[in-house]
Amino acid sequence: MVPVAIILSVLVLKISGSTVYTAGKDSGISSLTEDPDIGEILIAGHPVLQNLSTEPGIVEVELTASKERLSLKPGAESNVYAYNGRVPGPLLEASEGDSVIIHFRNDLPEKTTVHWHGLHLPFVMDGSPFHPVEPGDTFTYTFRIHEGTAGTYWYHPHPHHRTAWQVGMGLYGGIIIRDPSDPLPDTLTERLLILSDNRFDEDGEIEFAEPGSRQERVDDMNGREGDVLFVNDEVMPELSIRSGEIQRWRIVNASGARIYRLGLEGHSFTYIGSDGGLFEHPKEVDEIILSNGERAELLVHGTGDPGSKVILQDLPYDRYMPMFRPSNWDEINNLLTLRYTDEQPIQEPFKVPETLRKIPELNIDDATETRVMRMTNGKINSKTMDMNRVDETAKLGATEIWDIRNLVGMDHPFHLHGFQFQVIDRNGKPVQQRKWEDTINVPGFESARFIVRYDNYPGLWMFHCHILDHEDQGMMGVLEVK
Amino acid sequence: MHSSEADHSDHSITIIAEDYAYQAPNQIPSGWTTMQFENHGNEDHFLLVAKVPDGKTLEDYTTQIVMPFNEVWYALRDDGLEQELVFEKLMPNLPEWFAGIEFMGGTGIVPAGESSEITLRLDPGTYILECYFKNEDGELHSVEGMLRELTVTDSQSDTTPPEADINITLSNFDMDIQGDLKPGKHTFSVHIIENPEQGFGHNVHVVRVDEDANIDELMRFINFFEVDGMRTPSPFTFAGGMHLMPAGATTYFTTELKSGRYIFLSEYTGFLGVVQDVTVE
Repeated sequence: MVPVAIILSVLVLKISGSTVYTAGKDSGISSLTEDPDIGEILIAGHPVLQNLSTEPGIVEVELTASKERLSLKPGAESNVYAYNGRVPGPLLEASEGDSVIIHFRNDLPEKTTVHWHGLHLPFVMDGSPFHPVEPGDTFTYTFRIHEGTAGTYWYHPHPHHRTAWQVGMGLYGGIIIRDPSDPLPDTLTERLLILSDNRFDEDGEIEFAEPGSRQERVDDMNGREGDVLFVNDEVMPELSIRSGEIQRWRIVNASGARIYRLGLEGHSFTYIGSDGGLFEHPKEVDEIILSNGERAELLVHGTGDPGSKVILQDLPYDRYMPMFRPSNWDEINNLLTLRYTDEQPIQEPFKVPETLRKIPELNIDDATETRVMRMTNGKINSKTMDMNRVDETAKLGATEIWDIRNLVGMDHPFHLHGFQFQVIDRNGKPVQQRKWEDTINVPGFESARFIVRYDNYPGLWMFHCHILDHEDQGMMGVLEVK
Repeated sequence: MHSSEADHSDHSITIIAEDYAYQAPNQIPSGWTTMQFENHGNEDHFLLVAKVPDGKTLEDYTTQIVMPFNEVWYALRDDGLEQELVFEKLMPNLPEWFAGIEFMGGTGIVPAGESSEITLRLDPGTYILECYFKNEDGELHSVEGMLRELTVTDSQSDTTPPEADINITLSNFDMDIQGDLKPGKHTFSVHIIENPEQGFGHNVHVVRVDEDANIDELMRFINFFEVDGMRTPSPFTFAGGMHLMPAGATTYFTTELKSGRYIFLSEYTGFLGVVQDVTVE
């Protein structure tokens, strides 16, 4: 997904264990690695968008979407869409309080947008279908990073009816927002794992279903899944860890339809965060489910022996209606190898705090409205998306409850733009963990309720299923906040 | 699922039809239940209530019953399979337990924005709710997601069936309607007195038609195996009814009749003459 030379150099870097140095906390930057071949700075394993500003508190970058010819699948070259010539696009890194300026240029042969998935920002900067950037045009996205935002986000296109195509062609990239007072030590090796999948024809080109074909029908229903699974820009990359070490992994599900059930053989995770940053309290888990658009933050404990290795796996997860369930749905997919160095075990001088941060509770007594969203395949409340229609209207500053009901037998991940929410309950059972989210997966025939407050920004905000094919079919609506 | 819109009291529930799903409770008590069926979608929908043999689930019904039917439907729609060959192609692909399914009623076809009320008696067990009407693309609503499991528990509802003012009796070759069909709201009882030789009972669809309506066209439309049969957009105005039930069973439905011509017909035997052409005045 990036030029072959960079793939090789990054691979060398990872296998060699890399030279990790740590910046001071004040810089807001944790693990940096330097590619020895080309001198490129990597953050959490990713090339980073270069900050053109020397002023403190300003992050000013350039981002261009263009058609490129790159190697995605090993051994083949493909026509792709790329941000700054890369798939995934370079990492956007900023800190709470920063003002972010992104000079975007659309060099694609079609209109696009850049949606800053999960960030709380003005409507015109959201990169929603209401603000397309025509081919050859530029647009400068500017927004401020609010306090409490620190976490893992991502950016991707959001043009009406074309999101699945453009993301499938390679347009997605990661975002890390830093908290200068992050409760976790910046000595932890940090990794950003952007998960994606794709499908290729025998010539190595990205394959989409033929119009009118049975595969198109399956893709329309399930969303388009690929049989080649990527972690960042590689298939089955090898990462390293030292026995006894604790690493901080940030994971993004950038797949258009695949839901990941992640497990690391013989290891548990400390689950510390999701869409909107750190939880209030960490939780020990054996595996996590990450639906489309969602993010997770995990602490990975190096409990293996020196010289051993372990595989991060995508375990079977049945998200399908029976009539469209793929025959190989119950197979395990290997995602990456975590290899233990030969070094002697270390004792990480660090105990995971019992409280990671205080998250203000949105009180259901303050809710002035409950909005019911009945999700069927391709529709919400029996309607498909109409750019000229407002489906829901709310007052700026109001606190409301959304009741998301999945009436069919497959999972639908529900995403609300612009505002992070707190899940209250699932199927009537209270959710105890307090956290901020912008996407919630609702399995077949299940329901969930969340509470949200429409702070700061009026506008027309999208809500939709984040299976990108469903979104493109019109499983999306508009909330006007005014 | 839980649902604040559906009425979960013991003997009366609301089932909402969407394009393409049902919003319904997961379980109800056994005995008589009144179902208020509201079509909130943009297409015609109906409700077929099927009791599956013990141990069978929605998963089994979908994979082993709906999918073979859908394959045959695709062969009709896309490959020109002749209707006469449908069962020859279908039956080998159905499991033995297909014969153990009991269709226990439901609604007739209800247009978008309309509602219908039915009262039916259900024994404890696992039931499937299904709509096999087709969308504009010719895809079955069931395959699009309009399938749902309903558990009928051992606890008993204490409700009793309503008083009917119109009584319909269905046999293999006849539909008898007794009562005064005048404009207004009527509660119909439907009693099935015999099963077809190879079939699961009978149903009744109520259709409001113009004086010059082509009844042959209606017969073609109500035939699922016609490529344009039971397919959106519907050229006819349906007004409810009841769905498949076996011999010996009785159900009730309530519908509002206006002055004019109505056709009462049985979906599977209408072409054999199980139909009534009536004028409400």
